[in-house]
Amino acid sequence: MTALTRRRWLHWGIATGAGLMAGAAGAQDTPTPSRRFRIFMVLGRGEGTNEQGFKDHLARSGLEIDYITRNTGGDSSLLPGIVKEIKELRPDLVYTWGTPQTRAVVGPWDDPDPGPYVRDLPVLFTYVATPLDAKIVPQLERPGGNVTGTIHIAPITAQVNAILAYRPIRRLAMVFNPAERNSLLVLEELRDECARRDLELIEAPAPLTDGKPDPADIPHLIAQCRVRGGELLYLGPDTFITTTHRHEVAAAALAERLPTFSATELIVRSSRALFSLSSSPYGIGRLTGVKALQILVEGRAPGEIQVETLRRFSILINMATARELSCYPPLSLLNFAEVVEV
Amino acid sequence: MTGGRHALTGWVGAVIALTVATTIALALILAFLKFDQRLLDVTGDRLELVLEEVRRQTETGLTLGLELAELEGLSAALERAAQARDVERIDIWDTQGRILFSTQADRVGTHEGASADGYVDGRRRLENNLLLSLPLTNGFGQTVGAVGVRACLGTLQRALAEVRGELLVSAIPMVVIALVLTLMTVFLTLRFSGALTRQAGGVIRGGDRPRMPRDPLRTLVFRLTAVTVALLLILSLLASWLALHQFERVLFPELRLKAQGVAEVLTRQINRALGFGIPLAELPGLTGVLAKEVSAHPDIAYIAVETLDQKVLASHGQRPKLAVVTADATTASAAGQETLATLTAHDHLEAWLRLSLDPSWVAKASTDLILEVASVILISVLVAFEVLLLVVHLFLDRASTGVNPGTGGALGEQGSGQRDVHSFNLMFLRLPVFLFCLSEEVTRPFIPTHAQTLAPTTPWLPLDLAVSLPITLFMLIWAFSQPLGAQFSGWIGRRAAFATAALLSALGLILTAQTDHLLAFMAWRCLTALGYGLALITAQGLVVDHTKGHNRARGLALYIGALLAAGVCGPVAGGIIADQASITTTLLVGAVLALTAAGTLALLLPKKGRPESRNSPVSLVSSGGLSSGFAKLAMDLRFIALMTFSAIPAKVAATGVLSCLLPLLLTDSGADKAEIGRTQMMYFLFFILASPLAANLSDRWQIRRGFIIGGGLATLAALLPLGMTDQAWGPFLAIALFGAAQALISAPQLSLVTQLAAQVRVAEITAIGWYRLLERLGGALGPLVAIGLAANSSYREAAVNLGLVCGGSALLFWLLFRRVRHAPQPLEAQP
Repeated sequence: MTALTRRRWLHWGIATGAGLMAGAAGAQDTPTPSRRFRIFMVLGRGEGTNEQGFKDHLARSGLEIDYITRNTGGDSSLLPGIVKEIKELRPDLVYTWGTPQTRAVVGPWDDPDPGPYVRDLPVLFTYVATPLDAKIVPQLERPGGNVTGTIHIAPITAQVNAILAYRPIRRLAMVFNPAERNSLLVLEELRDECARRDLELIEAPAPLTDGKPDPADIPHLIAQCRVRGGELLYLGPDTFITTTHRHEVAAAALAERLPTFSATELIVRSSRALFSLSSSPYGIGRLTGVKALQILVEGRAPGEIQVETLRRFSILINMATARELSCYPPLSLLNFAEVVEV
Repeated sequence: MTGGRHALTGWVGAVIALTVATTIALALILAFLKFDQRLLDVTGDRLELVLEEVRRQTETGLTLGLELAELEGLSAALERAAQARDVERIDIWDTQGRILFSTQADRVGTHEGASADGYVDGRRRLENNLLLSLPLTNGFGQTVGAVGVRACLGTLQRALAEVRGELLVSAIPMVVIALVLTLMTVFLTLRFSGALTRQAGGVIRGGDRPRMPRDPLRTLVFRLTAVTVALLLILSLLASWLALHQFERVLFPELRLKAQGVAEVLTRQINRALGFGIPLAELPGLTGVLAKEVSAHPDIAYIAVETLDQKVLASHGQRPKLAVVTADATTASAAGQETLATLTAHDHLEAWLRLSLDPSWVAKASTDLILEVASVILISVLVAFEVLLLVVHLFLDRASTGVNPGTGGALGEQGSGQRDVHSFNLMFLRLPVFLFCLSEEVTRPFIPTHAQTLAPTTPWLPLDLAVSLPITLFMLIWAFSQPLGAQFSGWIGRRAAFATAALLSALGLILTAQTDHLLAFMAWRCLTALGYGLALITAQGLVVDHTKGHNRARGLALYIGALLAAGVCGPVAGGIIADQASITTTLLVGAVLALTAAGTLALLLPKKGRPESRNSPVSLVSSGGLSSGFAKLAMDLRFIALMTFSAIPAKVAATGVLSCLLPLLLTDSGADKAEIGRTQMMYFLFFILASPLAANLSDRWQIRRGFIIGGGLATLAALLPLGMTDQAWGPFLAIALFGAAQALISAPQLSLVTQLAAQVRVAEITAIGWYRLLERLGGALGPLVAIGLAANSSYREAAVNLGLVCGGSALLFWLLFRRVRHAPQPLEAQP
């Protein structure tokens, strides 16, 4: 989904529309240096709304920037070559998308060997769900070193709040790929949160063959969640579940008449998951842009800039799914929700 | 004597008629101001719905990561919102104040936003306009600008002017009828009190003092006061009812308009859900949303969603019985106290939304008004009582002697047969003392909170000190001005001393009113304290001058009575004036009162009065010198125990709670100054009610120590409600009980001091001088201790902790003190 859809939705909400860039002139409030900057972007699935927000924000500030973009397309074997290229080109800023790309560029913060990593250039990450657990930074408030960035998912507490606001349940099921570090980290957090709220968490890890999950197992996994009493299916920031095989996951859940919640919005927007609580990718892109300006224009050290996420999250509801499941959102949630019909 | 009685009737009638007319006028003005505010609140609430909707839409766009300037679609949303009645324009500006969107196209791009229009966060009334604004934050939590609604109150003002005119038309005949009724009633009262006036005249004429169970003059004045109370109650109630009735006509249409606004918000939400194909019967959370709106708007009693066949699908609240609108049409309608709105899906009528106003809301909202009118009545009655006492004495004085006022005789009891032309009727002292104390008491509800607002001018001074220091300094200056002031007033004469005191006090109050710096504020408060202390000690000096041993206690009781009456009237009057006008006005009123007090005394005090007594009203020096008296007292363990574990803690609690913590904690819970004043009034009211009983019983049962211990424990019990409940009645009850508890201690303390003085062979006046000085120093310590305690907890907990100090001290006093005998003495209530 692109920002165009967002704009269309926004214009639906507030009656009329105009281009994103309209009215942008004169809205900058940071002094503009005269030099050109080079930003090296390391992406995992090509340019998306996130990058559009990032670039828009920098463009509005009046900076002249040359972007050098490298996309792994999910192939992590390309990463060492990309890191080598960064070291040779020495850009003004390195932008990394996603946990694998960021880990490959900056390494675990406690690894004493700086050799394979970029430690002497500012690195700005985005779309990393749990930078602490992934050892990208030792702390969020003052991350230290040459790294800072933005988190794209809402805190687990806010996610569980949203789930319970939609539907008061006792048993939450989670299907995940145990080979993905992100998923395991979120699982840990979800276990704690459920225990705190006296919710039962039904865990359904995808079986691994040669360390990889098989998409054919998805319908059976989800059916098992239903059999074990799951009332709602939680989908974390798991590439296998909510990106690569999102259509199969959403369809299987619908077949089992199991409502689904996702921590990212793609599976709701383009497949048939029920609802999500997530950051607007465009907004996350803008927030990342704010931090880029702090580094490039204000000259602040990345290690002193807080790693953070948005303060407000978007609720996205797939109303077609809601109708099919007869699982309607409460009015209080609907008032703040974006609605899609897929 | 018949001609004299007619003159008396005329005077008394005039005083009471003036009191009644003033009170009714005040009640009507108060009612008007209250309803004006209420109407503005309702209008503000209605416009806030518009503002909230614009903010919600704007922030939804911002959450997506868009910049404020990019939300082009907002212009249309603003246009739609600006269709609400009274809205003049809606602007959205960025953090630099540059208007990005406006319903007036020529304003876009200008910097005419927040600062030029005078917006503040929240609501502000500027002459004929109401300004409301809310900040706008983006998804990163940053404030990126604000939205402001400017409304024109022209329509409301016209309606209000109409009400004002009608009220005036009804009020004038009412006041005339009240005056006639008053004069008639006073005439009848005096006629049926003929025997009393004759007896009183007999007393004044100098015959043998008749053996009557009660003072005939007081009986007469009490009877007249009762008449005044009855007239005031009936007429004020009538005036309030009249105002209520007039205002309902303006208020209800405005309430209906607001209810329609709430209905619009709800229908927009529900219609959106219906538009998505969600069946109304299966829409979750409907009742919750209705409940939220009912609780957010106290004027709405009931909201329901009804099907087309009038089955209630969801509802919240109690539907009033008077509801009249039936769902027999296909369009929204409003009549009486109900509003009916349509719920549609794709233009197809699906259901009804029903909103019912609370018919008793206006009456419920008038509780505040009723309490304020009651306070005004109480003040009027007390003032009338003081003036009547003066007028009756003045009249009888003249009737009996034909000489200048004020030369009758102390306490109106010249039974000696030998007229002393230099004597001074101490009844004449009451009104000046009352007015003078009133000048200071009117400031009581706001001194600490005002100091709090001035605190930023002295950033180097800790906030706790900034709040408590003005009261502490006032108490210190007052305490030390007593012995020095006594000498001063003896030296330059009572009349000149009182005039000097009034000038100092008035000057202090005027300068306090002008200052906006904390240091100057404290300096001028000290000047006021100097005048206050000097005036009180001069008044005591007059009592001592014009009384002898056998009637001195009664003379002092007169003086204390005036002090307490001012304590009842002052805070509540000051609170009302500060709320309706300003703190500056209240302080200036105080200055006028101080000068009036001096003027009144100058008129009443004979120019060549009795040669003033060599006895000072207060002395810290005994025959053996300054150190001798104090040394004897300081070596007496019982005196030390009494001071340390009763007198000082009691005053610490009194000033700490009443003058310092109470205004702060009530302001924190959103109370206005009138409410603070009303609560402070309870202290004095219950002190007055409880002290005669306490003094009599402690004398009769000879258990002064028991009363002192009981009073200390009662202080603890009294302050407990402050810590136990957040309800509005908590402070009210606590302060009332606190006043009663302090009354238990006051008289027995003084009796013990005089008794100890006799036992250790120190002059009574010296012992009392030290006792008063020490307890006032305790009073000065009170605010510091209170705020110190509050620094680590809350105002409420600090008050309870002060209660614990009193309770604990009482127990220690019980352990240390041995039983002593007593002698009755007057008491002092001033905290």
